[in-house]
Amino acid sequence: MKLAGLRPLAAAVVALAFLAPLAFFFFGALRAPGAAPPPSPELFPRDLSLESFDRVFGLIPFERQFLNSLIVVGFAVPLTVLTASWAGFGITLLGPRARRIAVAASLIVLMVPLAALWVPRFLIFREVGLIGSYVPLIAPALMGTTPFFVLLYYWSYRRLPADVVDAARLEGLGPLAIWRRVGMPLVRPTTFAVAALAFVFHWSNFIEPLLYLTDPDTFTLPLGLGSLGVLGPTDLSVLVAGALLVTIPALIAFALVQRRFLQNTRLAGWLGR
Amino acid sequence: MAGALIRRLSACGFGLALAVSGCGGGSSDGELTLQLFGDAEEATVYEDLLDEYERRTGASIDLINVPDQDAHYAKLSTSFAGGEPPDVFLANFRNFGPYADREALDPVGPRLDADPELEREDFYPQSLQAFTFGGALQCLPQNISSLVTYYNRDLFREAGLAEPPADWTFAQFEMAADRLTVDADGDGAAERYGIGVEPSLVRAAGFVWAAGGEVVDETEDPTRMTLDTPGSRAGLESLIGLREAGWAPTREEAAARPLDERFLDGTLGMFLSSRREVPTFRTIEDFEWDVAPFPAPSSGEPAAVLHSDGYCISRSGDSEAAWDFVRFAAGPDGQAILARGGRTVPSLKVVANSPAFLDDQAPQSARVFLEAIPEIRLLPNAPRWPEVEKAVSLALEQAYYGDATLDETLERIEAETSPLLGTG
Repeated sequence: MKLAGLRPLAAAVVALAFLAPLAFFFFGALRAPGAAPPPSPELFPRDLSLESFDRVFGLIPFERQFLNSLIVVGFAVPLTVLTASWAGFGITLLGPRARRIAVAASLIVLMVPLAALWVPRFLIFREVGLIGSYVPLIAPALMGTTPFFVLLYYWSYRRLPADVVDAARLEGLGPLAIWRRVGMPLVRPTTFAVAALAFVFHWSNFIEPLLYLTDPDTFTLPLGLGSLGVLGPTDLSVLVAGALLVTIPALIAFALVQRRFLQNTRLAGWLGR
Repeated sequence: MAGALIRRLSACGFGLALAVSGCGGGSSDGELTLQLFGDAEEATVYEDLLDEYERRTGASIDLINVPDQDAHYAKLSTSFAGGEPPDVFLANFRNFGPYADREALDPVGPRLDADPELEREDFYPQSLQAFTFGGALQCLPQNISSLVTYYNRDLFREAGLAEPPADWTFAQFEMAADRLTVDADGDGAAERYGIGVEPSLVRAAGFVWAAGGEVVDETEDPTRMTLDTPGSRAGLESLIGLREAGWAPTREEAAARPLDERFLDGTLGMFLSSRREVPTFRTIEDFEWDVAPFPAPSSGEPAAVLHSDGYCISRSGDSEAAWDFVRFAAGPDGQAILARGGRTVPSLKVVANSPAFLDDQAPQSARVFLEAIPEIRLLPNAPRWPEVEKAVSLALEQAYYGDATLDETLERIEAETSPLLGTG
């Protein structure tokens, strides 16, 4: 009983440790620009001001870049979930030998440094006339964004009891129907995890928009944030304000799914046993 | 918002299949693109420049502002390799070599010579020399900055130091660094430092030249670094000596609080840098500051280190239209617009000596930048020079912060740079 009473307290302490940086973040954005940043982080700035936010909107076309980022994420995240889950499920349906080859191939592809693909991808997308469009940013989602997401799905599907899939098969369901009606509902926590990670990946992607976008009107938020990041030290609060605005959608997305995510993890616990 | 979204999507022809769509890049819509790097504040100055150009000619230009230098050159390399570079880009003279070497640039020299208004003689010759590669002027310089000493006038007064004279020497410079350093509690970590300097090659070059040394054997076509000659060594030793004497922040201190921030809050007496600090330092309200020349050696020639950026034109684009923009941007009106932003020292003599540069804003002694020009010396613009500089700067940092001896550092520099300079 006593221990149970301590639980909320312990939770509060842990939460506080994680909230402290967020608080510095929040109050840092409320500092007025124009002074050198304080030598050590200050929790409560002396003069609260929204001027840094005004400067963000004055210096970069924030709304347009925000919309552009939303477009990319709006396509890339659902596509990633779809293709990664298909691929992961597909691997579980292979024979043991083919499965090993597929997993090994995914791991090898995972190890290819992204920088090695910049120029080849540029050439390919230029050849089909798509440099400057969002297609080069979204195209990786057609292959699950990264093999890591495919493997994540594969490991989740592998934990499904074989008789569940066999039973579905005996019912006469094809692979796609098994994936949709049996597989996906049972690996929902993985779907949320992949969706969240894919969101963060595409939302914060800097290098690909930098390389493949040519029209400033199409630029995404990380590029705008980058140009706030190299402002002089007296404008640090402007960068923090911009970063805060960029982070808010991610926080909202997490707040929306976390309840279902945590709940499902508990319910889904039987799978692991 | 939804309307804009739908318009954009239909314009870009999205679909699950990678259908070839009519959504091309900025260059395919017939507009010129200008790529440069700089912070958001700097970008607004360039937007003013482009607006003025559009007002005069009706031609609009897309500004691709890349946040930092590394990203700028990564994007340039990728787009050049992919065959779709920006029409015009801004490059430092120490970094355009790789592009000139691959003949990816349309040299501006012949166009400048044929121009009815601009003449070579209008520019400071050092800036033209900096962008000359393979015998041809490749890019048109827009600024000619150099290494100077920013100093806190209030701290000088407090320490009983006279303002640096126009011919101030290393001895006076070192005395000032010593007197400005304050370690009140005597714990070895000063509360205030006398001098801040980044231990990079572009800074070290000033010390090397002032001591009578050379950075490379041949500036135009370097085949080896010459930092190990007695004169060069003496220069490097005087740079390292600033840190050894405890007048400059340690590696940890400089990492915890960068030099420019220290200068801003009055805990750094002097700061060696180029013109680029001026817009930020103009926000200083708590004390007075000014610029002084880079100190002169007690014997020998004074030396200043060139910083210059130029407009380069890609060979693959519409060079004619690109030149029309470049001659405006690097011409008198374009340079005047940029000079008012505070960050540039104009490369055109007439603009540099006009109120557009010599206005009543800080620094009071802006003329220091112009008086240094006759003493300006150049680092090379060789094809692999950016790599050389990166390697040497990393090595020098070790020596400056006492993590390696000068001998070890010079050996490392020799080993790492000789393959890049073609003698390996």
